[in-house]
Amino acid sequence: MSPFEIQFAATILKVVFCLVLSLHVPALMVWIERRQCAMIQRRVGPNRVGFFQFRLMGLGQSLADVIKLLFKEDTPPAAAHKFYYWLGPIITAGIGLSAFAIIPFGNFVLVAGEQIQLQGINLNAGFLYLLAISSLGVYGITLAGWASNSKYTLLGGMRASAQMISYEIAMGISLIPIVFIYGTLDLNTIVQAQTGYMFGVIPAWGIFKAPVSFVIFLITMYAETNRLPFDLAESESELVAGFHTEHGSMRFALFFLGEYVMMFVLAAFVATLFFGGYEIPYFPQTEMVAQLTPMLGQSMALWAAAIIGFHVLIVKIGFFMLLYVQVRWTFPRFRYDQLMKVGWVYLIPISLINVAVSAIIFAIIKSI
Amino acid sequence: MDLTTLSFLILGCLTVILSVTLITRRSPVAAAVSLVGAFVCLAAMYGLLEAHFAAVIQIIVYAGAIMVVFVFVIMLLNLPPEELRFGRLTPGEGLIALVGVIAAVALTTKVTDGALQVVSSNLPSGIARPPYYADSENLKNVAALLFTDYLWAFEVVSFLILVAIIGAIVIAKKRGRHVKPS
Repeated sequence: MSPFEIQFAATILKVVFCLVLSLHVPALMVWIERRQCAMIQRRVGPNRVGFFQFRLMGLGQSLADVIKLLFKEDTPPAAAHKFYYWLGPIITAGIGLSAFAIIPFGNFVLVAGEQIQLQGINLNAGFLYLLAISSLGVYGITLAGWASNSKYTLLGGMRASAQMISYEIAMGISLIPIVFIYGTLDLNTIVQAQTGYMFGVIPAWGIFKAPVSFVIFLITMYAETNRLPFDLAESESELVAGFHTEHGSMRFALFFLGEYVMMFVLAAFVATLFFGGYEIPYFPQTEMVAQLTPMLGQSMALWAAAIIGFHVLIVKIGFFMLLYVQVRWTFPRFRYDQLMKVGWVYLIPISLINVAVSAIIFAIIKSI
Repeated sequence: MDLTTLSFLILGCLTVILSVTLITRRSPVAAAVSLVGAFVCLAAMYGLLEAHFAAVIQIIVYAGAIMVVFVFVIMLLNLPPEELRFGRLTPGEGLIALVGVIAAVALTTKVTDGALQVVSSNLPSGIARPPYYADSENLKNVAALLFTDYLWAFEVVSFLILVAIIGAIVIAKKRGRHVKPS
């Protein structure tokens, strides 16, 4: 097998892996969300649906939900614009599923002498790909809301897309200091650059170097995925179900899937940029491989380190997903004008000032 | 037929089909969505040319921001497709169509030995300039060029956009004042 063939096959396998991983997330998140919500509301939540005789704490609930949604009757409104009604959920789900490919889940492994980077795709444009993905995700919601040919859905769709494009700006601007600090858009390089130490003790994570960026990004992250406190788009008490009111059964499931997968990808993004990604704080991958090589040989040591790194990343992502759920069931939602005000009047100027201050600090540090 | 050529053929055909859809649909939403699709295909072709930054920026700016505004306006106006039926070509449209055909022919063919032949590129070659970072990626070179050789153009374009924004706000405000109830 020539190097090109190995890399090609590896890329296909990695991308399929990212796809399958992304697909598993909503299944687990449904259960987590419902149990956590119940815990916060001092009740129990679904804990009965298991497999065969075992309750399994209600983990089978997700499977039961999917089966129910698959068998439900699909009721498109008679006056709907058929093609876009069909296209909306597809864009949302498809765009979300293709986003995880850029997140590095390990350093590299050796296959037949070829170094295979554990990142689905490696673009020059790095994490701008994720910004592009969220830009395209707006279409799913807009088209779905309009195509259902109903006032509620149109309003919900317009509000959601206006919100998403407003917060995209703050999101993008807040990431500029990260580019100053790491000098690259490539996520793998950024993760590797976080293995050092600041002042000898604190791990050189992005959050310690760009805290304001982290806060702004966290806020815009919630707005991008239409999660509380920014979920005016599908606020249950206001707009029935917003833009996906008329989308039943599996179409709704696809929206749900797209939303959870976007949450997953953005949580992974935060973990990668600000919390060191797949690296353990005081025990970098290079040291791990060096310690494992005498026992396992270099190739197996790399694989073991990759598996450990992947699980570290999953733990970090899990923290942020849990944070998503906790925030959803804790805060009340913003009114729409408040939401727009926060996005335009507060977040964008703060992120611009952040860029200016970071640039000055960076220039000072560089000239020392 | 290697993968690059195959991808380019597929993407090229998709772009042409979407562009034809864009100009032949009667529903404006269909036209807008086909245009978005065409931009995404274009971005993919930029990616094939290893211009990853241009590809991503094309999606973020063009397909993800400008076209969203188009789609918003079209959806809020909600014109039924019947109102947009086109009749015969007016003389102006006929002239434009003729110019288009001449341009297409001029860009793709060349007169060699007294006969018209299709060539792959009729654009002047030799615009290549040595990259600032010879062994480095596309993004670094684009950034270097943008902030040194083309800095003036960059700043003028951003100023133009600012003028457009101010113009839009002024127009919107003026219209709002007329609509106010007495």
